[in-house]
Amino acid sequence: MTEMSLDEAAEMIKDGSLISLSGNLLFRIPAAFVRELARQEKKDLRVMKTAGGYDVDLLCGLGCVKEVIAGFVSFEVFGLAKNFRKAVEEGRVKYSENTCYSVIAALRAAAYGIPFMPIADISRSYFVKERGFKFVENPYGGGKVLTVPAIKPDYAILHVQKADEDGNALIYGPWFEDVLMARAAKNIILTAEMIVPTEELRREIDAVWIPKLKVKAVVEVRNGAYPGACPPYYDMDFEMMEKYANLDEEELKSHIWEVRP
Amino acid sequence: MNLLERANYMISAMARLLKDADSAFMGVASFLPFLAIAVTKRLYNPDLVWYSIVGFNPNPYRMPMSTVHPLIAEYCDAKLQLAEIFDISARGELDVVFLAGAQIDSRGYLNNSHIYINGKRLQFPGGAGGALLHATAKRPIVWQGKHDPRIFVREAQRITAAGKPYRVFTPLCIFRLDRELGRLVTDSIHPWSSYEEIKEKTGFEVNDAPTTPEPSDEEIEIIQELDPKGIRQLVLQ
Repeated sequence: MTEMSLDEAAEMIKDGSLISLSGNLLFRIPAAFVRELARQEKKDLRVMKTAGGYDVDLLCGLGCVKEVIAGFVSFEVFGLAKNFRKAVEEGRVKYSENTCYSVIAALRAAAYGIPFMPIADISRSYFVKERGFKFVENPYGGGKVLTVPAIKPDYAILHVQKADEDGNALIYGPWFEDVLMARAAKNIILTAEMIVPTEELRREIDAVWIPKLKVKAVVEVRNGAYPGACPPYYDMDFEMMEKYANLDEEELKSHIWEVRP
Repeated sequence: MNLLERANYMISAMARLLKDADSAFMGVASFLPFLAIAVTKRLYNPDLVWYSIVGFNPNPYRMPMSTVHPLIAEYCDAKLQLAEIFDISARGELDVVFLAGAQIDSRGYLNNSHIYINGKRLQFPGGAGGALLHATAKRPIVWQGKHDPRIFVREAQRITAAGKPYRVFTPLCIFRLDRELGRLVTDSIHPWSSYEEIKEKTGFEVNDAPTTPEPSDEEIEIIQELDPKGIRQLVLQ
């Protein structure tokens, strides 16, 4: 059985793991899972995502993170990700800054089973050197090509709308990098708004792009993206996000116990 | 002039720039570009291809509180995944991209990474897709909701995204890149500002320029219809 409780699933994540998180900014983020990671006081996590929001910020603010690999971390209309900023400014978290495109390239290389991915020339951006991205000679002629090394997450943590108890899952609406992450990662943990019978999931087979392979845990978590949005079921909680954006350190610590799951 | 009216000026000028554009993409927190693209598609350039993070050619009836909201995808012509946007631009198929810069320098380069003030690091969110899009889209349009000398600097401490902007929109004026000089020059000045004010609030040399034309009633009507609550003024606060 792959179906289990949220705390059992979070226990699979060891300190120091490289995890990639689903969704984008405040959309379909694995918020409940991330809160559980914080409640279990994980340490030294390496967190990967193209554009993080509440999820990355919360883990940074509660001391769970060693490194963030991302192109952007912010709350869009709710302002800047205060805890992420502070952690980076004080040197508690290393921000391995990328652009969304190079995060995708690193995941693509891992998904394709190859060591690196050639990308368009973005070498005038300062982080290219800082990340150590290297040019190689195009073996077919035409000069040099910039490359990005593969990054293979230990776990892709995906919040989806529906899954079955074995871990087959569908995503409604934009995938963002989630299907790619699922291909790239060694293991997958799913939280789902609903766990439905396999026959029911099959009726929507056109949306089922996460097969049970590599899925180590599936957890039913209603409102699992809260205070983020999980369309078509619910929008973000504007009031809670505004409140969250202004929590002080002590309030952040109690936030993860007050907001359940 | 209140913030809504100022936003309307900026949106109108952006919309008119898109009259001959083939395609345009806007990313996160891009309320002014969102409305500009919508206005252009209705009034000037119905064939403009509108790329969003959540779908291809949205036909929104209103602007949500996020410009990457899946709600935008409800009336798209086709699906589009985020990664594809970058591929489209890398292939050279993206005409206009709207990019924001926490810091914008005289060369049109953007710093969305961080700065050091007296040895203390001040962290920005990161440049999202900007590094690739600024470098590969044909006509990047840069915008910023504030105008002061800490934002408009001669040379950014960090270059997050390098490219040649087609225009740079600020709440006081519009810059364009003079390719011979290799730096931004003032293209027009909004009617509530002046050459003196821009000179005072810009970290590089600026010139006098004509006044930005006013938005038409038709443009304002569409802006108002899509954004009745005035979300657009948030970026100017």
